[in-house]
Amino acid sequence: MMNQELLHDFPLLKKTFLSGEKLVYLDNASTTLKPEVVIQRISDFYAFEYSNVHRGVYPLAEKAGELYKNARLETLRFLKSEKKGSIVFTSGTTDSINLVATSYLLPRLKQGDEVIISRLEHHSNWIPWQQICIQKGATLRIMELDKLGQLDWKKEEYWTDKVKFIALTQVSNVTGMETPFEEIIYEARKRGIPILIDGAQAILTKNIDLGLWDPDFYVFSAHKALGPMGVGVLYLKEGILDKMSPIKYGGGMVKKVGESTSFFKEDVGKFEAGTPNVSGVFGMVEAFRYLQKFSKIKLIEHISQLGQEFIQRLKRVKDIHVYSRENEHSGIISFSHKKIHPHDLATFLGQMGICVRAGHHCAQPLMEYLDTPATIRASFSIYNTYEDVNQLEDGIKEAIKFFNYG
Amino acid sequence: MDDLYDKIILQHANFPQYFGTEEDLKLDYIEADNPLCGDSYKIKLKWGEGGVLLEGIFFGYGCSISKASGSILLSKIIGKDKAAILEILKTLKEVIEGDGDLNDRIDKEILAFKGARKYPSRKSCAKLIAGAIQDAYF
Repeated sequence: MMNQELLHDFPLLKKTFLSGEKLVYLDNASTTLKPEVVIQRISDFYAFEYSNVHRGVYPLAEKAGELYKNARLETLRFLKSEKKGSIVFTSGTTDSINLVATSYLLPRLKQGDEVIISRLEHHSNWIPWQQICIQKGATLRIMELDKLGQLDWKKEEYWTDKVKFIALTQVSNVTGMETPFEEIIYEARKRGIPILIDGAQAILTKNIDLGLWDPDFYVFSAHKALGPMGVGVLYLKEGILDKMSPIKYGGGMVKKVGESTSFFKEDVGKFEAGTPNVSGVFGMVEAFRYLQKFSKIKLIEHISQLGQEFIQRLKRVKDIHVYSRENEHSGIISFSHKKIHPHDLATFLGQMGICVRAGHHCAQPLMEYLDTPATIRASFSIYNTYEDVNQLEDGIKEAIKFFNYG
Repeated sequence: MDDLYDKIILQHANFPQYFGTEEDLKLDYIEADNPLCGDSYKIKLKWGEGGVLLEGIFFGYGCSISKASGSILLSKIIGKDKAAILEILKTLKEVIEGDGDLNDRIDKEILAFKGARKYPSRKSCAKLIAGAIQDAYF
């Protein structure tokens, strides 16, 4: 059990809503709440430390520039890959994936080549690859799930010489299932196939160790790990940076600009044209520091136990189908009621101060596999409690009565 | 909560009128899809002389609000001509999206959708079927 004191760290959890109830926030797979320290860090930068980075020579600018540079090192440490890779700051997971697709793979991909993704991908790790495959006459091959819902990754058809890239989620944003990404990275490395791991859903709920796993690319968004929106990370394995060219041009990414030609920076700065999201980066690093106060093992256990408890409660409710698998859900529980539409249930719960998500969760190809247009998703985080599970259970039971299916 | 899910809406959602089967809607249908939530209906309308709607039927997957809107809307427009139907569609749109006062002369079942005014994300559910009919025939 996490320390109850932690609830006081999150301003939204202290607020009282609508007819007196406290917020029960269970849409963490979409975005997490922010602790006071992160909000304060962003505010402090604007209030007391404000300056642009990279340019000025006055003390404020020197300080901001230094902190921005250190943020890359702190991010590497957070990912447990000290000094072994490069950190590009992006606007989030989607931006990071698009950068890899456009800057790394597009110039290398040829007609007849294949790119592998899995059935579990979020649209953001599907469409960029799909579109460049269309552009180049390449094939997007989907690694499917077997009858037990496990990724059937060993099939020979996924490991031919035609495969030029693999993009794989670490954790499904719908069912919370963790993929066998470590084994797949190992196999890809043996065969010299570059691999990108989408860590958006894992960054908070899983132990992260890029030094051990050694993927070529790792991406995530700060806002899913208590950090601000609009900022994220692209990690590049050592040696990859030189193989990628800039795709956005402007200030801050150049060494020299002439009338007819320009020379670009050779470090990660070549991908960060324009004024970067400095406050976002500082807020993200503050979120890392906040998270590092806790034992990651306990944090993972807490989130998982809440999800597990919720599944047990759901099993006792008539007409409920649970899509997430027991003990393999990372605190993300997708379910549906046989007769109540997910949006009706989510709207009803919303009026009780319970925030859950309903819909296809930007994973329509996975919805096809699950054979449903939509699910309800309750996703837990470090600040959730067993009381939240109680309220969610009560809310679902009330909704069933309200919609006359009791 | 009761303001969105008016009793009239729940009644129609649980027991929709003019709700057919997949078999009924194999040919000559129009589609009403909401990509945001996966709701998807097929609607089939049979028009007679003078633009009078003779028959109508719908089928598909969707929430209480969209399903009730199909049921209520078809019950109001069958037997009417295009001019009268357009008026009904306009009234429904005003009930859902407008911000003006709603007078007592509006049909009670159409008025049941006024709750959607307070739920911006659910307006698309209430408009789904009406919008598809309007786009296809008007």
